[in-house]
Amino acid sequence: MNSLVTKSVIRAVLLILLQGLVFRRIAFQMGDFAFIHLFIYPLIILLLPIRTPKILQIAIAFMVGLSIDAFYSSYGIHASALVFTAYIRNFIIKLLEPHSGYNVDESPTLSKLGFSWFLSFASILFFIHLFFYFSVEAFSFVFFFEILMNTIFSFIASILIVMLYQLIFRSDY
Amino acid sequence: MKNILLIFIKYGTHLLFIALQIICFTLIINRNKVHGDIYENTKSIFFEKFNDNVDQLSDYLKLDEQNDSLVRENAKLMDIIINQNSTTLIDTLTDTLLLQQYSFIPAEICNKTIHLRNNYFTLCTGSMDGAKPMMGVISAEGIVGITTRVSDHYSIVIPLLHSQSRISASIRGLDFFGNLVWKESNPRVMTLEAVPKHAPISIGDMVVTSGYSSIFPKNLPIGAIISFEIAKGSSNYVIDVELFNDLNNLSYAYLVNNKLKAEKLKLENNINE
Repeated sequence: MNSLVTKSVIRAVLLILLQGLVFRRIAFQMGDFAFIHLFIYPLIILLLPIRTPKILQIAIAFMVGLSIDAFYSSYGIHASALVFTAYIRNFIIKLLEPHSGYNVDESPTLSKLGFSWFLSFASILFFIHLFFYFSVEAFSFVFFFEILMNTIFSFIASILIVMLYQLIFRSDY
Repeated sequence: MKNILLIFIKYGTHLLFIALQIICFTLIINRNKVHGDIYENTKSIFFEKFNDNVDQLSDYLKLDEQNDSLVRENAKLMDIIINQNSTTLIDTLTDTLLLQQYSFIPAEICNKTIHLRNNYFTLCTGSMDGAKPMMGVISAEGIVGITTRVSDHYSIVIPLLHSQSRISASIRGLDFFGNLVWKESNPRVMTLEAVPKHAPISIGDMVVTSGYSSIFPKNLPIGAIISFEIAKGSSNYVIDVELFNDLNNLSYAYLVNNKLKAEKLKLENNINE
């Protein structure tokens, strides 16, 4: 139990730093085509142990989101998106529950629950998170085309990175 | 207290989610310039629309009040106009208090029938406001009828559209006069009888009150001649008159108070004695 908390904290710090210091600076730009942004920090929420109290998940999401906002010098945009993602996460976990059920003490990682389960789990939540984030960032559906393009391309790039990350760190981090 | 705690335990996640989202959006709007601008802009567009609607609604709700004040003002103006004419009629009276022969009482029509053979109007103005039986009732465009019964707050009007209504009317510019009666079922058309056939009338001539009956002032417009014929074996015209005012579409009227009526009737009744 204690090791789970430690793992989660280490993962959170690592991913926040990775996002804030590395992935924030990576931008793919080809002329007008600047729709690719890399986001991996939602993984912090995704990989929280399944039986973490829901209230705690949302509170953690708020704090993680605020620290990401600090790196991006935006106020509350990432926090809002991440709180929403954490809120949705419980429903998605319930939706994707396998026949054998979960081991509620563990994090829902690729190594524990398999490649296809994790891919669908991460895809759904990343897509929702990115769509929410870009909507709030544009703050008006006048920019619906940009929101959609940003969401789709950032989603493809981010999910690739996330799957790579999960394949590399097979031991829970 | 226990219930509140239970609610919080049950819905705590949702409540926290909503609370944190509110905090986030407050932050977004207040601390990010672009988002703040978009928010202000959207808000102003929305609230302008909302304010416009509220303005329109309050204007609409005030219409009744405005109507009342306009009706009162109209009555005052009619006092002035009609009495300007009548001063010449009674120029022998030098007492300025008596110069005003007619005064007008504004009245709201609160009930009416139009399509029967004998129609009645009800006015929301009774003897408390100065209404009396046998007073003329006029509207802005023409005449309406004559009061019959008056209670404290209401009065009944026999309108033009009644089989028993008889209005003394003449043709403007000519001194020939006749009785205006309602024979048809069309609420816009009345019949003027007893105009002698040597009167040089033509279609389009204006029919006005004669002023002989002492109920209506002289020369109030009633309608225009649309057709006329001479009945066989008669020496009088039968003239169809189209009314200027649409009694169907009328909500305000004025009672005509002839201050010299009693004096005139008294004098006229002495003839027969």
